[in-house]
Amino acid sequence: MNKNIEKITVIIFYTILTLLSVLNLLKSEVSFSDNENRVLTKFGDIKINDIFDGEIDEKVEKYLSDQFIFRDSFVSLNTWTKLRIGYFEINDVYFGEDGYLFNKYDYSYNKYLNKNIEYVNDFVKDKNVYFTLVPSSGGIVDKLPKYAYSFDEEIIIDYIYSKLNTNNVNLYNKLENQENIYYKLDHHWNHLGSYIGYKTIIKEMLNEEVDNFQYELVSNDFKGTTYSKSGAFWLQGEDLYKIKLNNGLRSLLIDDKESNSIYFDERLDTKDKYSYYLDGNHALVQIESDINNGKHLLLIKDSYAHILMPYLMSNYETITMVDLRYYNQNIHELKNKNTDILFVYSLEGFVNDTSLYKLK
Amino acid sequence: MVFSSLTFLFLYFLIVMLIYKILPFKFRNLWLFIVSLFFYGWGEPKYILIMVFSIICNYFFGYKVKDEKGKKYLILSIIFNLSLLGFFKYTNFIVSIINSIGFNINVSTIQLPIGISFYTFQMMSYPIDVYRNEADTQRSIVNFGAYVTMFPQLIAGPIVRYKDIALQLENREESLTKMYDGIKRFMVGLSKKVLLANNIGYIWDSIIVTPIGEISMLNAWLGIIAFSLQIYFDFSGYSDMAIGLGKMFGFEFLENFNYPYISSSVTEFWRRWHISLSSWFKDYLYIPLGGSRISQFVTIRNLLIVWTLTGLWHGASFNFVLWGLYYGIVLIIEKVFLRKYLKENIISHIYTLFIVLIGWVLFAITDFDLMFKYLRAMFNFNNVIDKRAISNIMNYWFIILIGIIGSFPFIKEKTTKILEKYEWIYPFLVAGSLILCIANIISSSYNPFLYFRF
Repeated sequence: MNKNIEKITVIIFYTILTLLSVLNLLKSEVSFSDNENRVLTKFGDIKINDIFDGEIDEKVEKYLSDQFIFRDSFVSLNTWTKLRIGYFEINDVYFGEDGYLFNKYDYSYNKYLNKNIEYVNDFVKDKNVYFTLVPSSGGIVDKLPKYAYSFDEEIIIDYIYSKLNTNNVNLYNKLENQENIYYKLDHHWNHLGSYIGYKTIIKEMLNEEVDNFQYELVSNDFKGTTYSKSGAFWLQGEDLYKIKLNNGLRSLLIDDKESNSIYFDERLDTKDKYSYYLDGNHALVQIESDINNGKHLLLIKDSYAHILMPYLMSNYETITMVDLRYYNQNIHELKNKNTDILFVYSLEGFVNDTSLYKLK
Repeated sequence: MVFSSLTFLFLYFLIVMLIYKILPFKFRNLWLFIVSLFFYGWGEPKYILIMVFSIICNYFFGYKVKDEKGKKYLILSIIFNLSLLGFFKYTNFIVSIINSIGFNINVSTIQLPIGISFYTFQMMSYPIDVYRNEADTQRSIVNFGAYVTMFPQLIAGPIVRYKDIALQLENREESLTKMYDGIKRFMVGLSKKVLLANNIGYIWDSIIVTPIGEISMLNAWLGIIAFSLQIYFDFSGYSDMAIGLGKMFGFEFLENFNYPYISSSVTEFWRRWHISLSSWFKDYLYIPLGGSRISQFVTIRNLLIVWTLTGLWHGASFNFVLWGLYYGIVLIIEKVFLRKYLKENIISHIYTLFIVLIGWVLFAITDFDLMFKYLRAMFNFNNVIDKRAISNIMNYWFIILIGIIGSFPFIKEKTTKILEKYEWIYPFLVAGSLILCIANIISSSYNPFLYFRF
């Protein structure tokens, strides 16, 4: 029995605990975690009453965990060790080839799906409505980890289309086998993916061919949602492109706020750079372009549609974009006679959406 | 508060230990008593009152059982302790049974005080031990309170019988070696809980929420194996932490686990699993009922009583009763004839693991319909293997392997031998595993302790 080793062990154990405690005391509070895209618990959030409500335990633990020094490094360490011991899925994110991080979706749990289909069918009754689902990156990009379980998204898309009484625009075949059409570190499709979507949608809806577009690199440090979930905070960000408009913008109203560009440069300085497009999620966006063809589009959507908008502006003079998750007025007032109506949802978004009842 | 929380590691433990070591010995039990009550009340302060009330009553019983009317007070103490446990743990269950046969009683849900099953049993042992002359009456209510509430084993055991610790309350040795051993033991437990149990738990969690009709045979077995490893590392890890913390404060608790999954009979399994509970039931119920010495009929009756109660002790729900009875029946079968055929051979081991794994299905799934469907999935030869199962195995193979290896003693024996030669590795192991555990705890809010609901 070596007394020195005993001493050293005891000292190391208490030093690690004490040192981290002291550093935690000294460090200033952080109010927001960029990597996780959420507000952190602060000391001020803990109330005296929590002691008597029995909530103190949870709150203090959350506070300590949220404000822990080197927090992101600890999370990275955890992710890193798991990858070393053979994990390819952490926190419902698959670590694919070529740096792709895919969300893991399992569409077996679809308790809202049939209801959602019903809501849409009720809504379209006597109307000519177009509907499109965008598969997830994991469903399209052929770079999943070798043994990853993935649900065949074509099957569920076909199922949904077979139940819907809409004109369905099938993107699955068009996106399949295309390169570089989704972000690697985010769940959205990128400007190239949405271009394919745009081409297909316009062909179906208007029977027109579409123009080419120019792109401009606006950020090389986009770290999206799957990056955040993965905890692999050592990864480099990726490129985000601006889609140069082929025609001018006459007016833009986001909720009640006017704006003179569909691009929001200030969003490039934040973590959530996908919001560069149309400032992220808003209840109601009204766009008028200068093409003077009198066409109007009502677009009911989730965030996958934001990156479609720069393209669609070439074909519609006015576009009204509604996000049912935030929109609480009567949607029927927005659909008048000479309006084209298009639904754009990500597959995952549509399957799990809980706001489509607002179509009633 | 659980040991595997930042609150415990970085606030509570450091402060408690620092002041404990500064205080002279005569105040140390008082300090332990106070901070243990704090530890207990941290989650639900109102239950401190019940705890203190129980302590005072049992302290009083400790004197009274020595009287000439001692037996009456002994019975009173048993009724008292069981009533409290019964009220808090089983009222809702009993009401739901009564209501299910047509009555309509309204009782607001009673929240289960943390660890009540553990500390009630612990407290009950005191008047009994004193009555049996196996321990002396504790004159100091502080010492008695410290015994009952002692935070290392308060909420999840081991269940310390009074006679095993009576002397240590008055006098115990604290030393550098004990601190060193305690830290090592604590880190073993923390790593078992945080690195193994929590991460292996994800497998079970993901499988049990899969639509039941889609679970393949392989995935069903993987799920229940994962649960078995999770509950073992969770619970034995918690016992390791308790024993380690005990050592740091100078106490020696008895072992609670002894590699249960290497047993060659179910009887042996229960001598290796949650030893403090089995021996409590043996000492305070099975033997007083006559044990196995009277007649085969009495033995069988006793086993059934003990095992129904063991099941109920784990939770107020029918699946736990079923689980207890299941073991009662298996143990009777072993006792009556099977035992003599169970030798140290592969078939006996497979038989034991099979019984235990099926047992965990009954234990883990409270809903009977789901339970039977899960059992059916385990033997569904129409859906033997699927992509979910392969994905799970390929993602988690390493941690499952570590879990399985860790369930057997030979690796520990080998590594201990090597480590004895290179003892300088220990400080690095302690530091490394502590950092990894912290990283794991921070990374996940997934830190529920499974034995909380008992």
